[in-house]
Amino acid sequence: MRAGTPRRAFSVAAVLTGTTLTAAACGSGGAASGPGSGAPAQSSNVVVGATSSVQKLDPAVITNFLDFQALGLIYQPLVTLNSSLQVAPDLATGWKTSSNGLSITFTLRKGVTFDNGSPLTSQDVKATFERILNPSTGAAAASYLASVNSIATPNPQTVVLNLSHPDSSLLYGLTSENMAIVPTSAITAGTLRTKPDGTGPYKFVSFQPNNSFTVARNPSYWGPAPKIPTIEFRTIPNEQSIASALQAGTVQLGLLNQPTVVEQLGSANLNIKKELDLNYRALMMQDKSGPLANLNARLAIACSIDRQAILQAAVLGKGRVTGPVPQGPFATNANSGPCAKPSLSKAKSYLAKAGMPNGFSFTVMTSSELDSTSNAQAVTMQAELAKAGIHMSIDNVASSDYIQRWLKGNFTAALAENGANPSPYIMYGRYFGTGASLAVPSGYSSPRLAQLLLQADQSTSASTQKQLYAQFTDNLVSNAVWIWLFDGYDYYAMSKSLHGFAPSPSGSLMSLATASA
Amino acid sequence: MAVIQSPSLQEKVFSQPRSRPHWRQVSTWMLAKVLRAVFTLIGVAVAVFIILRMIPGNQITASLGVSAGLLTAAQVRALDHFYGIGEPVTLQFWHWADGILHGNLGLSVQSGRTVTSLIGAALPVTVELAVLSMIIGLALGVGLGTVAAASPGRIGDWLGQAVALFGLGVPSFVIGSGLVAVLATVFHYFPSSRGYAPLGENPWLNFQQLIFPALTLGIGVAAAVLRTTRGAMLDISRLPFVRSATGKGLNRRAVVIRHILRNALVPIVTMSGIQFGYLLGGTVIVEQIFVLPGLGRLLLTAINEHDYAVAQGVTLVFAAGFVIVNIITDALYAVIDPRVRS
Amino acid sequence: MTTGLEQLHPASQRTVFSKGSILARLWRRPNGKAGLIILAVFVLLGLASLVGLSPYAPNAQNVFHGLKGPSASHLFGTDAYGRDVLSRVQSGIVLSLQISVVAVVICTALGTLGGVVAGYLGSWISAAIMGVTDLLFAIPSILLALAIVTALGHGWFNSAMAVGIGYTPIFVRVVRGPVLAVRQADYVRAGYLLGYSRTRLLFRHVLPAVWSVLAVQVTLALGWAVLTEASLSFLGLGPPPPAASLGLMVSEGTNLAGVAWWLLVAPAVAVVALVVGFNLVGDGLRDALDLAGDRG
Repeated sequence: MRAGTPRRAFSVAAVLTGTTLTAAACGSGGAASGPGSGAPAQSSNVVVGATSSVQKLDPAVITNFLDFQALGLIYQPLVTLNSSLQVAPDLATGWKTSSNGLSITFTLRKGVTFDNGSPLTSQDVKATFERILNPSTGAAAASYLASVNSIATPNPQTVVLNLSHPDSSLLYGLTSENMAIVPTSAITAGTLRTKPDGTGPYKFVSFQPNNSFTVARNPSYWGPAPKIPTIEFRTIPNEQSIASALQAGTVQLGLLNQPTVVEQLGSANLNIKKELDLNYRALMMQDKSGPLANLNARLAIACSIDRQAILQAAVLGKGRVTGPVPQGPFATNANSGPCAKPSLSKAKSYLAKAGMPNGFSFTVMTSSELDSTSNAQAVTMQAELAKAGIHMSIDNVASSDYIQRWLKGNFTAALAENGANPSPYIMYGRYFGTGASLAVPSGYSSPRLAQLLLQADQSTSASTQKQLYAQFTDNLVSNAVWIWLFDGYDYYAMSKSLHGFAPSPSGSLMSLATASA
Repeated sequence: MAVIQSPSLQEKVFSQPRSRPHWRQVSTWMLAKVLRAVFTLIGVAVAVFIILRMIPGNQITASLGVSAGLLTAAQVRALDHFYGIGEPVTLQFWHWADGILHGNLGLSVQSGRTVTSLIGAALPVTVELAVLSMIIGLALGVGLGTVAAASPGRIGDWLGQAVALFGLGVPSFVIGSGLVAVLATVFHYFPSSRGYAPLGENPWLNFQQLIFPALTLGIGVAAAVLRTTRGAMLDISRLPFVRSATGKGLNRRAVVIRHILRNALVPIVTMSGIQFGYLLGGTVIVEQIFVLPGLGRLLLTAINEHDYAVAQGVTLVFAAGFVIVNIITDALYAVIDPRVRS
Repeated sequence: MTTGLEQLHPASQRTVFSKGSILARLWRRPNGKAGLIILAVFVLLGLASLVGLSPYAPNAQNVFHGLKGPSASHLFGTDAYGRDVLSRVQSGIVLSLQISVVAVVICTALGTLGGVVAGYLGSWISAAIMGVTDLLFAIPSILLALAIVTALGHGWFNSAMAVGIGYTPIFVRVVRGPVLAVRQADYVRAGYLLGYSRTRLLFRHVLPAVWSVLAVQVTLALGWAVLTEASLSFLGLGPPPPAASLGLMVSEGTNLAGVAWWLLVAPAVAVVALVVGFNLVGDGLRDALDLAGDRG
């Protein structure tokens, strides 16, 4: 039952945050609308059907996509991403970066309380970030705070982050649900692993691992009162069964990934929305030794691969071919680079330049447990490469094996589904930056790439950043460091009775807080 | 999981105690059985512990996946300490074993729950499923088996044989997948999509959710029980006392039920015990197909997510269930066997 | 070297190894005949693909021709990636048989060795072997296979190991019983008196007496191995894709049963045919060899 495996459990940095829908609806300024006043509008409960299950309840350590989605209704970060993937207010109503870029001052929203009744203060923010930085928390997202030297709390509504160097990506990092603010009392009590306590429109009710996760509306929520009384995330490990449940009316919102299942759903009594997900598929290559150390060999691969055919094979063409940065303000043009379109003659000429006119052989590592489409990608790629005389063998391994080998860089090439972020620095600093933690799996390093990333991150001008990031991604593509393949859709199938739900590019389900059923 | 042609039936049925054991002997024999069971469980604990340690990776990569690469050295050290990874394996085992003796099966890496609470929630589902399957299997198996044996070579026999062949030959995952596909696509009916309803809360929905998985498993049991029943009854009906009973002019039905079936109970009980063991394994697949939050699904998820403590605990519970059912079978067998009773 | 001893030998009268005779007897039983026919059809269907007698390569994709129903060009239709289902089922049968045969070789070898040693040598070795057997019995075999495959990694040989080890305790018990009985039998005692070595007695007299039981068990084990292997693949623990594995095909077929029923039906029929075939032949063999009692 492949579908039982969470499809994106191990994406690095699946960035997920609330959208600004609620923040925007709440109006600007700190004038809190206060606890949901008056009787909430009539609405029924909503059941969300998903193939994976909520796994962990502590926002600092979650990595599973559904965990981000479910906990996103309970916990909120200081800032969030809006629908065009730009940083927008959430628990902080505003922020100000000092002119030298070495400190950021956040003003906290007033009238925000945690589920335990205590008000949100700057102390909670400080305690949350210190907890993330504490090694024993084991928060993988701690690296987002790498530039933070100290945290000051001049008054209960103000938090100042003092930085070691200007860091424009920090704000993007703070939008992650991993950076959600938790109450100091829960940190002290050590209850975060089992009992969520946040500031969001919904609060935790119950959790049965592998089965269901239920939240109920938070009567003291600072934003507009949510209409849907309870939302249950129910695990149904087979998309076909989610489809049946939708048709039977026992599930109101189905989170689907398989285009074949979505197509057969029809739209008789259902609304179907789709949204490009914030992940990207790539062929990662170890460029330091072996056959792929040769730039021309890599370019030959790039020119042989028909990414449109891979997209077709993997997700029946439902998605789009992508470059290094798929979405957001710094998105790359997918059709740039030496071989944006496949060309056999170019491939052959690169092979000749590489001194291997008759082609070469290499092995690609995949794990269909981690990405159920990786097999289709690999088989299609194999056929494309064979036309140019490049022989690629497929090594499909178990997820545990894949992770071990990936971390050790123990592969020649690997098909990966990685998490994207609107900030290229967050996406690629870990792979190509100075002292990158994932330098080994990335398989490629160049001082130029590291320098471009650093300059862009430390720049305070948006246009300079844009220019530098463009140079950075051009460099990646023209060196065929990896081969960026495509970006697929997430599907949201909902019953006609569910009104006001709009998916967001970050995958957030935050609009359920303003929807009704 | 369908059926295994187990030789232990042969052993148990045909190597019966020759002397007449006293109850004291019986209880000593039971004590020996229990002791052996305890040793078996210890062995299972050790074996499972070792096998799981052979899986590549550790709790950190299991919990964080490739994101584990983002951890700093200090974070890795802290987590190593938290999970006890730095300790020698023998010490890790000792901590686990010590915990078990105190009723603590450890903590789930993923959910942060205690393994005991996870098992506590899942066990009733699996037990209910197994019991319901067993009831279906026994009713179908003994019923059709009796009919088949009463009229060898006739329609009832052929029907029984066909059911047996179907039950043995069609894997439970095929039956289950077929049922799900037909129910979902033809009838748009998928009771489990409403979330599992415990027996105490909503008995009717609970029954709807469990009847199809129980049928899926029960057919396999029925097949094995049917064959055993038919065979044993045919054997016994050839024995002299049955002929004399028939000769005395007793009603055919009375002979079949009172004399033949009753004497065939020993192999039937034995086979049922064996089947119960396989049923426990079968729940893994069937719970996955029908989305029941039982032990099988808990185990499969735990293995997929490399949640060692959960996988170890569940396997131990499965093994304990198997061993306990074996002891009960043996005890029942001692009670039913006329030679032991007399 | 014929001695008077052979006349006392029960198995020697049964001509288990004169194949013609056993096959002929098997053929006379209705269940044996049905099993042989079913197996012949499906095994040949699978083997045909090895000599190129399949419509397409099992992994040949045609992504723009996916999920097409049965037609003249694709007898059993195509899957989501436009691969020919018939070719994949053929290749799946081969993979399934390959794993099952290796698994049965493993469990027959290990189990016979264990059973003979336990039955023939007795004492503490026997106790140890039976202890391990108990242990293996106590872990439901599918769980055992699951644990082994997870630990060793996915692949056809690891599947075979997992399935084989799961069935080994049954062979130990099947073999041990008769060996115990034979050891006590008059003709073996006579052998002792005649001064034959233990090894000679074992190979010339004890083992032959077990062959018939073993033959039946091997057939049934093959059916069980096909079933277990398919179950493992169904759970995603078999040989990894793109290998065509019948269990995995059923699993994927379930997901798409609403749009493409043939994806579920074709591999399911193949699994069922193989399991039923082996079971029928096993039953027939048992009837033909007239083995009493073992009809569980």
